[in-house]
Amino acid sequence: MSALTETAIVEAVRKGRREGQTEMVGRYAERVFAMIVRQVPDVMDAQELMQDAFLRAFDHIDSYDPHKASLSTWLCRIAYRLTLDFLKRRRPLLVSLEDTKVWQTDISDEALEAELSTGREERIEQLQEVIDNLPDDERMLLTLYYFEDRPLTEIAYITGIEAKPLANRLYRIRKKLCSKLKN
Amino acid sequence: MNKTYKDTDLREALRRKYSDTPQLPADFMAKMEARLDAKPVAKTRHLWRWVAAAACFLLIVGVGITLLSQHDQPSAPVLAKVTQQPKPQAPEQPTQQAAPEQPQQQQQAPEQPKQPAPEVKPESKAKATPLDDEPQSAPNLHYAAYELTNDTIPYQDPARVDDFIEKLAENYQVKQSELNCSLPVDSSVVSTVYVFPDKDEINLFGRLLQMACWYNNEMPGYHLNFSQQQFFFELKDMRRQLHYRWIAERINGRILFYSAHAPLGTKASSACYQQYRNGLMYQNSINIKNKKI
Repeated sequence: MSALTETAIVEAVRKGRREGQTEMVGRYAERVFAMIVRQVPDVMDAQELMQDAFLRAFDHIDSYDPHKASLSTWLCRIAYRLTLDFLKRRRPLLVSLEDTKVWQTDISDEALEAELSTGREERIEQLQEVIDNLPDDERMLLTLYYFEDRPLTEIAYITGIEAKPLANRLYRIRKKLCSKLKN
Repeated sequence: MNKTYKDTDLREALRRKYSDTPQLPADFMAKMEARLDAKPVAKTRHLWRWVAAAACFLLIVGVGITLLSQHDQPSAPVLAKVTQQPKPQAPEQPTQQAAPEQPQQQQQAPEQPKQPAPEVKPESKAKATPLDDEPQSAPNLHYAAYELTNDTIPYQDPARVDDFIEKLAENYQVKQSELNCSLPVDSSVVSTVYVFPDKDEINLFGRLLQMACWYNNEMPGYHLNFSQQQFFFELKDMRRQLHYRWIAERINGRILFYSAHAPLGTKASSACYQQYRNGLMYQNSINIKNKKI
């Protein structure tokens, strides 16, 4: 069973065959769950979200295009949306006025990189706190980029944001972090 | 864009934060299997939802078609024809004169108990209409009801314009003045004027135009004409048999708004409006001259 290729899994799921569904869950569940549980600390909620993600994937398998992304990335895209929806329902997104002030100052990429690469323990601890207070979508973006080491093009597919605006967004989040660290 | 940021502090912060994330519970697969087993039922439910929605849609369409076909049935014109038959007998009698006939009916009423009471059925009612001794008022009422439901386009109440202007005037504390534009004085001819300040904040012309656009231009009597200086809008309300007219004009930093409605066919003179307008212009010119002096 484990010898099934990704194409074979997709085909089996498309035909509604149970072994294809089981194989898909068995193969990708760990990765999808890890992505969800980082944002949704309650394991039960995370599990439910993951079940929803897989069921949705089975229902919409026809919309999967292997030329655009791997099956794993496509599943992460579904999980990302479900997780954000779940977090929005539980904690409405509030944009503070401070967030909008950050954009006013201009700072180069290099300077930002230097600010966020000091290696100082206190700075790392401070960052952990600041990350907690970020909006859900920004925190997820940082996780996908820095923790999961995904390329921007892949993150763009998962989040549904074009790569260039996404790069700008990442720059703004880094700038915001710096600004909060200075405060 | 493909540049990878080192941002080691940030990476380390995230690593510490998420390194202890819980593992996938061992019973997950079993739970997932259970949900997969339950899924076909859910799919059937989905199907039933669609079936129910389709049934509702068909029902609505069916009801709509039935109502439309009732409109188109020849019975309505037949009734109208029947109701028109008594008219030649008493062509000059308006509907209000049907009232004196009521005592006669009441006098005849005591004779009726001798006869067995007929069952009231919609069909028997329709058959009864050709009777010669039918009171005239009833067919007229019926005829009116038939006309009311005969709108070729959805009805839009022209009086809403007046309501809107009234509220606008109230909001900007603009007083309304009544004009007597009918000779002899006819209470059914209602003419009102407002003098609004010509300010961007109020944007009366823009609002009037927006409001005029709300009405279907196929409405009876629809006539819209406007420029930077003047706004002219007319509508006919066939249900209430009224003719509405609104005129707005920029006069020396003010906007004179004139609203009038009168029964269809009434000859309303615009002399009163002209008089008011001239008065306003004269008053304004005096004020302007005073300021210059």
